[in-house]
Amino acid sequence: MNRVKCFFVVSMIFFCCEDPIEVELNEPKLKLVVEASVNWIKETNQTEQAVILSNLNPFFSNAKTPVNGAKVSFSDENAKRYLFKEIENSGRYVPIDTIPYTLNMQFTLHIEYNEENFEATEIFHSVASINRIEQEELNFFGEQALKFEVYSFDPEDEENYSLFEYKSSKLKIPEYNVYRDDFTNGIEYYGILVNSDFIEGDTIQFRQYGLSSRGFSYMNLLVLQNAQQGGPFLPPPVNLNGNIFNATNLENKPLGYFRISEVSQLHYVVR
Amino acid sequence: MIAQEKITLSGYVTDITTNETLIGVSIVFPKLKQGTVTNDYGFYSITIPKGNYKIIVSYLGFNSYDESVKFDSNQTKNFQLLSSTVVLEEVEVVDNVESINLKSPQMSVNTLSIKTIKNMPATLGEVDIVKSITLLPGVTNAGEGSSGFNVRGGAADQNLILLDEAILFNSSHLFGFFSVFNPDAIKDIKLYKGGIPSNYGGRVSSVLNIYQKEGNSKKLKANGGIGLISSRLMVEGPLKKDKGAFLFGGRSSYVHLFLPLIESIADNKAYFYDLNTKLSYTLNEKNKIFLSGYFGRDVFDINNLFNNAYGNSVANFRWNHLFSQKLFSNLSLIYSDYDYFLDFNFADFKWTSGIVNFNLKYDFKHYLNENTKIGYGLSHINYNFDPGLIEPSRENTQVNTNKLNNKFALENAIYTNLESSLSEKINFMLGIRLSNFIRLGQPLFVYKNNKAVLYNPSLQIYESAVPLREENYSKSKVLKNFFNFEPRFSVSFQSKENESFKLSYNRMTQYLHLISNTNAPTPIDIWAPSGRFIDPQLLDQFAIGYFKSIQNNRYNISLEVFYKNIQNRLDYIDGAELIANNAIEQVLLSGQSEANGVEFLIRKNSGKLTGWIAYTLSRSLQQTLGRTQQEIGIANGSWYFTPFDKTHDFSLTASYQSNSSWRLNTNFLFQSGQPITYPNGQYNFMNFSIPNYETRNTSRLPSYHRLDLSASYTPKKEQQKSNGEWVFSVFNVYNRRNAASLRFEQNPETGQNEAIRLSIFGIIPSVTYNFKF
Repeated sequence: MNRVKCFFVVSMIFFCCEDPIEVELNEPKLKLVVEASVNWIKETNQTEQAVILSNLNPFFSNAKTPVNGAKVSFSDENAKRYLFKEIENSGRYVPIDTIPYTLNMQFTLHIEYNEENFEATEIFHSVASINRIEQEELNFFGEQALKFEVYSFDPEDEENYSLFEYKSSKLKIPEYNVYRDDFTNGIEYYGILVNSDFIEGDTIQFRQYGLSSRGFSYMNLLVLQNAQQGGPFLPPPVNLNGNIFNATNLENKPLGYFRISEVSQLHYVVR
Repeated sequence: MIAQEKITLSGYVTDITTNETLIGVSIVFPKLKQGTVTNDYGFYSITIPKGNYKIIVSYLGFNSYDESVKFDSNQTKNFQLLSSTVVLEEVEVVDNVESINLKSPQMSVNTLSIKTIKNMPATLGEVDIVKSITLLPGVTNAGEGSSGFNVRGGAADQNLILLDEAILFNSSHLFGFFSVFNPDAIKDIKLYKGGIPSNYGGRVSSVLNIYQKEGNSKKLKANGGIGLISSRLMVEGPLKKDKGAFLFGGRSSYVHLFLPLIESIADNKAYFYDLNTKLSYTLNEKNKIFLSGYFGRDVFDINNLFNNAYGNSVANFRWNHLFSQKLFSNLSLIYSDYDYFLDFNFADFKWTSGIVNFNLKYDFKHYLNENTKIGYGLSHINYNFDPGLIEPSRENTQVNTNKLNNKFALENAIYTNLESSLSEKINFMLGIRLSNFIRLGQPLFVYKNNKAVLYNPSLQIYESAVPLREENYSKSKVLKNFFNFEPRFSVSFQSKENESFKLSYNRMTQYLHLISNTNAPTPIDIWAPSGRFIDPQLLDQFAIGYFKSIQNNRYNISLEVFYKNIQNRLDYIDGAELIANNAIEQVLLSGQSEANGVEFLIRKNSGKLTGWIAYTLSRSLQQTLGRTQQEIGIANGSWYFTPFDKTHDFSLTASYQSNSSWRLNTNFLFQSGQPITYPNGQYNFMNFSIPNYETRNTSRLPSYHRLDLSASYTPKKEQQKSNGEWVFSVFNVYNRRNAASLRFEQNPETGQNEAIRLSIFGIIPSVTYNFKF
């Protein structure tokens, strides 16, 4: 589906075109990838807690290589430990005791793997509730499309960062927006989804995750580099630098991010 | 021995049909082995012993003029040359006219007349000045469909672009598909790549000097062209016969008129237009005044979702005054304004930004005696940068108004330039420029230890510091004052009548930085003046060259080797946000860049077949080290290729006049691919397959090459007043899909990772009709 792409116009006029080509790439070195997240869904007592460990794969392969046998745990400010266990060699580690809902508590993630220790700290961030959805029809680069605006109120006295997520059976990969309150401090703001594939009756899951300032930088770059199409006006891509470091060997820095936050959620049926 | 009595001869050289002054005309006294060339205003002055001599006045593309005159007292002598419109035979070039160029210590300079430029095959039927200079040695394009050009491995923002002495900040239309210069209004262009004289400063890579025509003061003339993409019309004529002239040129694209034909983009608009005007008036023998203006705009409107307009406006007044036959002066008062407007209806905000500058320049050229010239002058520029005002585009929207702080600065310079000779064979040029930059008060953040960028040693990343407080300085307060001493030196050694060696060194300072981490400049890019957090870029450049003229200047050969180093070249921390950033210092790190190379040029100047072959072998690197031992810097502190590194750059340009009606033109270009970063792996995160990249710029895009052809047909003139010319051209004849960029991403439909090539221009045939009456 279409994404906002200013360059699009120019390309229409000037016969430009895009095509996949074959490029020979180097093989990757072994590198640990960490996807650690704790979600407490607002106004419910649902929670999702997991640490997924994997390895780098060749670029053109779609393989996922799980990392097995790592020791994973969390600790909070009071040095309370939460141990994790791996689910059947899947590379997916879950806590034995649930990580409690504790806003503003600092948590540390510990991973022991291949005789190396990895660590990351993050604060349990809150997020604003989703108040309403507005749906509108529009002509998007010549296609009839639907626009959804997901509204929240920004708390005035703090710096707020969040990540909007849009999931639906119509989207192969979820869509994301990041939000920061520079221009909308203390007022209403919205996340936005534009798509031409939705029809009446489709369901969309709207979610908003709380982020730290570093989390915002990470997700912003992730969304910018992976969800927006290029052109000469985008900066050259760089590697995403997360909040996890290698305490044994600084040079061998792992990839990925550790996030712990509130999530606001709303299921919507397209009108 | 009795000292011979001397006299001074001075005057202007003009085109006989239009009274247009001619730049760089040779005036030679073969018997005395002495000569000079006309300056940027067509003026010359030469001191010779009394006596009877033959004088030869010659200029490329014009019939040479010679006469024998008895010179016994100081006199003013103006020459008028007749354009040799059609060269049917191989014309013998009289004497070694160009020997003056071999003599001159000035090196690393290329001049193109508009005639040469107009003979090149055009993209989409549009003659393009910026594209034409990329055919010169040491000059490469910043990538297809992107504005700007790169000189000797330098960035596009390091080029000083002067249109009738006024500084332009943006040289392109439609994101770089066309340059902003209307070829009909242009006389000549001159590009300095090195050995830059001391009267120029403020940019570290090159100076592109574009001279607008003064207008025809003999009769009313009009010419223009009708092309597929745009049309243009230029009218010029006398204000007062032989005294004053006006010129008015306009150009507009009309692609947008065809867009409604394609249903899917019916509501989109994209067009540009520009206007060039000039008034010139000769008050008397000693005084001439010029008033010129330029106004250009680009407008985009995409489905009312996105509305964008930007452009330059320039107004300038100049006064040429002769204090004496030996002292020429020019005073320029220039106002220049760059505006940018964006209405992002889609996200409910609009944005306005701009740069206003006012420039005063006073230049003197003193023709002291037969072999010594002294130039001196001063320049003052007052800048007002408005980085942007962001406001809601309609009522009840979710956007707060946000004004980014305006920035104010003054740039001053005084300079002097001595051109003289040590012997008949050795000439030299010695210049000194003292530049000063004053950054004036504005609200400014204060940081702990004055560090706006912090380093996180465990995560090995650079992060923006949180300011301690904001300090509001008044506009009269000097925040930072820079002084720089910029010596310039060049020397020529004419080993033989037809060959010479030259050597040059120049130091230059650039106080303005283009804040951009894209590979090519975009209209939204922001300029940041030097100040408390940013130091000026400092260049040192050395060049040596060998120059030879063959067969009475029918052929020219030049070979140059250069090395340059630039201090304080900015780089950006990973993920830096540059747009609408009120504290840009929080994402900047300072490094250095270096470039070196060899340039070769062979040029055929006369005959039915003219043109040149240029080849450059070069490299261009950048390095940003950590500020302390602990920090890793950018790309682990290693030297990496800049996006302007093009190892091989070859170009061929040829024009063949077959008979009086047909002219065939071609050019061929080959450039090594632009350095880019490839991934070496992928990993899964948040349902994305994310590429993991190698060290910065260690791979390259595929090589860039293309061939263009054009044929112009001028029907025989049959006592008609008007005449026309048809130009048929084919751009990219063998339809090479040159990659403008290559990106690595996950296909949103299949989830499969792919390498996507973006190529812009395929084969494009076009027709243009040019007319004159």
